[in-house]
Amino acid sequence: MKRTLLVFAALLTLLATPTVNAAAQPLTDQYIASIKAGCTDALRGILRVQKSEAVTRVNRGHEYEALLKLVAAFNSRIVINNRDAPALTSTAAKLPAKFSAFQQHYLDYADKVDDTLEVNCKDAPVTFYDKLTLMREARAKVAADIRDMNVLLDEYQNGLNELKLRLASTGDTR
Amino acid sequence: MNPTWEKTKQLIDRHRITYGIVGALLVAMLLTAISLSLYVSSGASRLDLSRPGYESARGDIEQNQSETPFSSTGPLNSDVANDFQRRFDSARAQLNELDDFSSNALDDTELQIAPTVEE
Repeated sequence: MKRTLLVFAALLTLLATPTVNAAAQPLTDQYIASIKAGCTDALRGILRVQKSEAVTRVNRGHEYEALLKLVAAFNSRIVINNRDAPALTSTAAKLPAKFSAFQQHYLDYADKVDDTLEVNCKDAPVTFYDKLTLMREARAKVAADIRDMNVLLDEYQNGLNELKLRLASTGDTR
Repeated sequence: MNPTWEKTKQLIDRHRITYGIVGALLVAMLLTAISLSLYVSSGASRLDLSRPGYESARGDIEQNQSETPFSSTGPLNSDVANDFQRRFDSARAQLNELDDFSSNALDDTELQIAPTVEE
């Protein structure tokens, strides 16, 4: 019982230990001075990007949702008409998961933006830069999700091309 | 019966309206707190452009075109496939026009925090 409690306490201590997120390279004094000097412009720039990307996220979300509905409807037709299109069905199955990942990563990115904007970059330039680095990494994940969605949509298009060829070759007028 | 409960019951009976209003307010505040918590935790707040500060951004929201939805039932032939292709291409074209979060807008030079290189 005592050993179990000791192990549990040790695990809790490890979990509670704050993780230190150091920048990839320590900032030079010149860099720190530059951050302090450009602090206001940097915050203004981040705010501008935050606003424009919020609109992008909404518009992109609308388009993805419309596409997912469209693809689901088409796949339903494929099934109802007993057509074989494995490429289309398998790709369509991956799209919702990737869209969810995009949504989640964007929320994470938005949180990181808020964290960055909360830091006073004149008083704490190193902390500001660390948060900015994390923010950029989160943004890169969103960009990666968009690239992955494009790859999946390209795969879907390839499957659609095959299906269209088969429909044309059979002269299907069902 | 418990004398404390009896006293409490008498007190409430004497001021029913007051306690009723206070109770209703407490329930309203609790439900509002729960709603707000869900609003933030679900991420809906991130997509809400009706927030203060986003007035100028609201005009950039693209309105959904009112086209008849693609039916999930019906025949599957070349015409249907071509119709689907047209809609698919239109959606992809719209997506391609949007920013893909990969621009250098957050680079040090763009944010003007990169040290200037002295020549």
